[in-house]
Amino acid sequence: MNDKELKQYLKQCLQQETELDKLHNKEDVKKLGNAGLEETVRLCTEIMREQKLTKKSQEEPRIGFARYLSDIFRFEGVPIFGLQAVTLFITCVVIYTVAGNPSYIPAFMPLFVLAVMPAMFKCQYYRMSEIEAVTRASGAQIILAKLILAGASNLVCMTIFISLEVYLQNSCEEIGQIILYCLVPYLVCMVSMLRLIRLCKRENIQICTVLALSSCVLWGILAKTMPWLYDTSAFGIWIVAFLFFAAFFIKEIHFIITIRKEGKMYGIIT
Amino acid sequence: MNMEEMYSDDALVEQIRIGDEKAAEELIRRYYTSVLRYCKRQCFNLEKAEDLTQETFLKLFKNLSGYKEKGKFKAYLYTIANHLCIDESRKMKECSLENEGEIRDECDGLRRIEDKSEVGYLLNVLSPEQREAVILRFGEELSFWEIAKVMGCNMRTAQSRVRNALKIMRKEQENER
Repeated sequence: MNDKELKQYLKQCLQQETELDKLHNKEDVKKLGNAGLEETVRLCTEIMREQKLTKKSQEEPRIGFARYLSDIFRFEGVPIFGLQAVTLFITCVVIYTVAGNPSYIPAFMPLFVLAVMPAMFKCQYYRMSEIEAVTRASGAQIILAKLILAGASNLVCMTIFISLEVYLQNSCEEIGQIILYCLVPYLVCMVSMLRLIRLCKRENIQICTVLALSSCVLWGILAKTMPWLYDTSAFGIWIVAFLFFAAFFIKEIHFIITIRKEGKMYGIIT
Repeated sequence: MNMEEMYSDDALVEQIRIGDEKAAEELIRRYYTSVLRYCKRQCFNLEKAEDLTQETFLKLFKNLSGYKEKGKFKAYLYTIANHLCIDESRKMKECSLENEGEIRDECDGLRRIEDKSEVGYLLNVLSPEQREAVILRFGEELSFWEIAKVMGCNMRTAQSRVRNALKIMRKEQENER
């Protein structure tokens, strides 16, 4: 029997069974005096009446995402922006006093992701994911709100950081490269962090911390041992790396936005 | 022209939302038998299936405000029924620890009844997920999209479940010969 015949056979048999079931059910329902069906109709209409009566008292206007973002800013905004400011201050001091060479920029970028981590992993650290899960905002919505706040603070910090670097270089010629040096390591760490949240690993806070710190060291070593990687001729590699990780990052953000609409969790309930 | 011909599922839902009790009755009558049949296939017991069907509709009416997906009512309804059936089977599993022997006898009896027809035999060869996908696809004539919604998986998984089920059934038939 080929696939087509098997499909037809299944359709025929299961639908025959369906017809028999229909008759059987009708007989059963009749036998029970339509009790099940009538009772269901009665109970459902009762629910409708109840809902009609309590509708006005229960109805609460739902808030939009913008309002939710401003609400969450009161709780998460200060720690996120505060930590970012501290990180920015430290990196600027180091860049200004020690490492003026733009090739050392990537080594500082994972620190900005590290500064975002306390807010991102807060619920998992305090084992509060269940409580987040029962709030009116979905888990994905909470993550998205935190990401927007983190992204905004990162944007401000990076702009200041890049401006300082341009000032130290005394020219705008390498600004494209400097931006890439900032964005590529940042995206690598950000994508890793999001993947870790999504992969629901129990030790993802520790893994993410180790990953960010080791990437700082790795970028530092790369700057020291492979200076050709930071030459103008290597500009293409950075663009490709940027496009590659930006695609992953956009995909992840798109995923969060999609599941936010469905009201799902992003990552596990610890 | 009666209500059945006049209104689509979504139109009936809209009517229910504004408090039309006749629309509620029509919607329940439209799907009561098929949901009952579906629940019966899952729990093999008419009384339990009736309870589950009633619970499905009660849950539907309690959470009707949560239904926002236009044109996807059938999938929404079957998803509620599916979740209730899963809960019921979990309860049965817990119960089986206490009355294992009794339940095993009951299941064996049911399997014997299923084995009477070749379709029943072929369906028993499949995993529970594959069997459910085949029943929803060929018995209830749900689209792959609707099956995916009901089973809580993506459309490709639903398609592959049906495809693998067909492959297994064909193989089983060949072995029989």
